[in-house]
Amino acid sequence: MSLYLGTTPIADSGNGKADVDLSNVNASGASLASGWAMPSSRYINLTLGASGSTYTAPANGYFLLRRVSTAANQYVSFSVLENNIVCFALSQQYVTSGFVAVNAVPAKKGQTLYLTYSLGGGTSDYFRFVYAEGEN
Amino acid sequence: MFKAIYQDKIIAINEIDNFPCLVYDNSVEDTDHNVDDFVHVDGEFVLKTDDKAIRQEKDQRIAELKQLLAETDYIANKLIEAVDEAELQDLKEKYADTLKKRREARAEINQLEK
Repeated sequence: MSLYLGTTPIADSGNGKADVDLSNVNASGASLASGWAMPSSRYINLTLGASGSTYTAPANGYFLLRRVSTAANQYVSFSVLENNIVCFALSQQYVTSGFVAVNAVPAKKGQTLYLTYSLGGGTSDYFRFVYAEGEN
Repeated sequence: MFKAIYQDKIIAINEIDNFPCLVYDNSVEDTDHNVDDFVHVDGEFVLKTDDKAIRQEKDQRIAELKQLLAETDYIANKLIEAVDEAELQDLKEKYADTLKKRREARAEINQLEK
């Protein structure tokens, strides 16, 4: 929207700004926005609790677990909850020992992860929260 | 070392008093033990000397041994299906090491299950 004094524009307050429904976002803007939800290279290391523990997402991002199976048929199961409603879930079972299981699930700030597992673990395991690109 | 407590169970252990994101009631320092003294059993961490930990270790060993037996059952089947004594002896020689391991595994299972 432009504001005119006579025929001279004195301000172009609307030019280059997104509509409230984002209908005028161009391709580069849309790409940038979609990238904000993707994983960044920033993370914090977490202590893996006992099976059945819950974790609260400190920001928008991803819980990432690497853990080795130490026997056949070990499993890992992730449930991301909000107000006790499951928003996202992932379960895996590994038929052999020695399988390097790496899984990630997305979580919005404040959502909780309920994590159960029987994976025995190895020396290079990690459990992290990876921040979404749009998070500081 | 530090222990994170939730509903009277130790649900996490580490060397620093910091358990980011984890939902727990409180943490306590344990100067008598270190992290390697604990093992995960059924949703909590217990000392390796705890009965639950000993039982779990025993169960895991039995599972490993039974897995070994299952993976080498085909050899026992070959022996059963040998057409004559000569073939039977050949198979016993060929798989001598594995047959020895199977015998040891069965003996250890029997011992652990007593």
